[in-house]
Amino acid sequence: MRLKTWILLLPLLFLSSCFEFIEEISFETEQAGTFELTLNCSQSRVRLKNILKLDTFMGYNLPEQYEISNKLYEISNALKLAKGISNIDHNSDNDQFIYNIKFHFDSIKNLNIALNLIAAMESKIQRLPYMNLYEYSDGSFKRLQVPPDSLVQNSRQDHIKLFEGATVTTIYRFKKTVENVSNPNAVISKSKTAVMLKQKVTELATKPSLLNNTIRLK
Amino acid sequence: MKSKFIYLICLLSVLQTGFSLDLKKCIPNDATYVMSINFGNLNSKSNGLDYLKYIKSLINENSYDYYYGDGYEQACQLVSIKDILEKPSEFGIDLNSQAYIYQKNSQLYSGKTYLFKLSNESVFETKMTTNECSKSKAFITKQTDNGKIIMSEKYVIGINKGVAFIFVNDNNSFELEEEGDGEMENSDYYYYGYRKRYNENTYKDSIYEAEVAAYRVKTDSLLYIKANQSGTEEYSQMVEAYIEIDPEIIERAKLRLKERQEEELRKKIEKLTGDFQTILAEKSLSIASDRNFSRIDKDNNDVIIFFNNPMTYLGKILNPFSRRSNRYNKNEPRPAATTIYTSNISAAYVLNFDKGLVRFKTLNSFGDEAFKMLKKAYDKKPDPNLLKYVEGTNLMAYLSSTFNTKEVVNFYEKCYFEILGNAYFSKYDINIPPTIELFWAMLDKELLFGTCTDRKLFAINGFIETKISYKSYEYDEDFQSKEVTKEKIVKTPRMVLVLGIDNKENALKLFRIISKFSAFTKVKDNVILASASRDMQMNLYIVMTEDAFILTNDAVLALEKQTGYPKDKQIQKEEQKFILSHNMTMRIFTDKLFKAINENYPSESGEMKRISDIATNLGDFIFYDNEMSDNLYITEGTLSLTNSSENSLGILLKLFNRL
Repeated sequence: MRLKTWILLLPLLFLSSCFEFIEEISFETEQAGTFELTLNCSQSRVRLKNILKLDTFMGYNLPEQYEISNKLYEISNALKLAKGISNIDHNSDNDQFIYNIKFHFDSIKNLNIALNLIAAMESKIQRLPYMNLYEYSDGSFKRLQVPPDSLVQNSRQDHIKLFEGATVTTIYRFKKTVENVSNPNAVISKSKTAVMLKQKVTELATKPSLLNNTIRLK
Repeated sequence: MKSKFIYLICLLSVLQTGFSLDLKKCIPNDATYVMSINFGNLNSKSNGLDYLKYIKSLINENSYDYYYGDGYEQACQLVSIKDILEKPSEFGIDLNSQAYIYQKNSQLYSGKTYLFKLSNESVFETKMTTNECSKSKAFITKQTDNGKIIMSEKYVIGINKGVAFIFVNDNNSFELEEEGDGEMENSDYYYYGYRKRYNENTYKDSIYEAEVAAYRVKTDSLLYIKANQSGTEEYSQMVEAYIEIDPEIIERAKLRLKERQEEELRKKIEKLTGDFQTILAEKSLSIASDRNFSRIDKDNNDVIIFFNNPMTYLGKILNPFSRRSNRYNKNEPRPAATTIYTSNISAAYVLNFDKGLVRFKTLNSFGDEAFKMLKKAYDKKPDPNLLKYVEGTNLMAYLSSTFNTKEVVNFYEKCYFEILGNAYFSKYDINIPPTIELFWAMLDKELLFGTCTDRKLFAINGFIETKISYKSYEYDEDFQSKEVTKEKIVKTPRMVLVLGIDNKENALKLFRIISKFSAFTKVKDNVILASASRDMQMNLYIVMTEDAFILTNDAVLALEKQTGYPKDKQIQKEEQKFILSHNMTMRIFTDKLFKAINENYPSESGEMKRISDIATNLGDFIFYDNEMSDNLYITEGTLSLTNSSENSLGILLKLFNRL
């Protein structure tokens, strides 16, 4: 399936405007932990189901539902070969349109390599540059900005506006306590061991740096 | 002197008129379909905007020959209709008059013919004979009594008295049967098909052509001996060696191949000239003399599409064995055809752009027997009692349809069995038609078509709110997530479908059966409910009243208004009168509908802005039928625009360009 199809699986949601994209990292040490990505389109499932019956929508090719599940399976298989990645698990709830992938990583470097591997699998036509999404140095964990030609930015601006209500949430859990965060929208948990940041997709489309965050740990 | 000059002018104009062809009269009366486009009208109505891009997008010139010919290769384009539409003057075409397109299928060939008036014959001829395709591929020009023919395997171009005829073959080449094939046994048909495809006289693919070229290269050059002596067996090396010594050798081989193709083409043209000469001339039996076509061609319409006897083609779709029987019975005498119900049928669609109004019309004509049955079906009148179930306050669209379903089904039954009766069946399939008849005879037609299918009224009147559930997440103090089920309100159009009951006993039987399905829960004795689910974002109520079945997502109507709304809340009287005076009516209050969508689904998206833009430009869409008479069933529709001072084509083009 083409990258375009995957990028534009997301715009399908804009008619109902609601989906959740959740990125979670639970650190067990400074470097190792569990990474989890969840796409929850449950709110839009009725319309999605109808839209997916079409071959194309607004000029974009649409995948079959089984193709989405197959893609998760392919990604899981590819990750099995990635260095430092283990305990890969994925789930597809085709009734509720909830898709999830979870794996253990032994270092942030290997996590970045694994995420680039997934991006490379999906960008056969339009190669994406190698990017470090996360960094850990000098007691700080950083969530970096994806390149400006990110998937979301590739979509047409008037289509992006139809994502009203859709959100991206990042949750990072640490063994150490959090001293401070650089992103003013980020919230530190009561126990000071976790940070949550929720942003609207429509805003991210024009300003991907909204997910940037530097978390200073004690 | 002056009077002589005037006389001369008159004489010249009489001669001109006398000699120019009437395009309609050049279309055979057995054309499958005819499309007429009045470019003169459209040019003046389009306000200088490009409407041709929409016509061009409908033209498919790249048909493939899947079975025969050049092995899936695309044929060389002697002429492109899209190019003609883009630059008519370069082709000497007069694109300010009426042009026709028609499809003709015969035993020997099938294809579309485009008829254009020419502004300059010699420009057109030069363009046809000097393009890349005519240089490289076989083509023949021939002068006939009815003008000049330029023919390739894909195109037959005719030029006669200021008219261009462009025939585009449906296949990539004309496949004329060899003599003697007619004596073939039916059982040999599949073998024949295979043999024909791979017959060395007819089958030409790139390998074959390369072989022919290589053969020519070998035999034509003494260099072959030299190359052969050098001991090389590699064809490509050999060819390269030839080219090095004699660079023109390949060109000569190509030329010979072209000559050989032209030889084949010449044989074909001998067989086809008779047919193609007649397409260039006016005919005594032309579509112009067809009664059904004449009825629509008299009003200077902008666009007409006319389907001539569509039952012949519908027959192929409706008869599941048509492909098999066509293969087996190629030379088998068919049973004497009975065409009481399936003959003399035509369907026509007419489109006109007026000031602030788009008008279209459909005209369906039937043979005498078919018409009698359909007339009887459409003698049934709409039921005023059904209107009470529709609240008129927020009416945004409705569709009302009334006809005697049993009579219509009876007509289609007769048509279908006539089609089956006229089809050939092999000894293996001979029992299938009586099996279909037996199955059909066993159906309870009174229950299926006599219960509640004659009088139907569908309406959209406002929006209602429905609660739906979905999965989401909640987070604790440490942002550990937990999956939860949440609820939200979604707005859906408020819809109602009313089906008038004609047989109360059967209606009750049906209702009881449907109630037993697990999807429904009983709400009242006469109300069942299918609740909103993941497949249906609304509650659906089915209510059985004294005179109707009501299917709606409106709980108020289903539970509290089972006797209908009071008169002052119903559809306005004028509208009711309109509905009751036709068997079929539809009205979309377009501006009201789009505005409601905009209000109920507020969004900053580009799509919603476009919807707003459309809403401000469109008025109502009305569709209705007329009383059947003179073997005709006519429906008419109009789309009004808010700007009534400009022609609708110009307004719509502006609107489309903005989208």
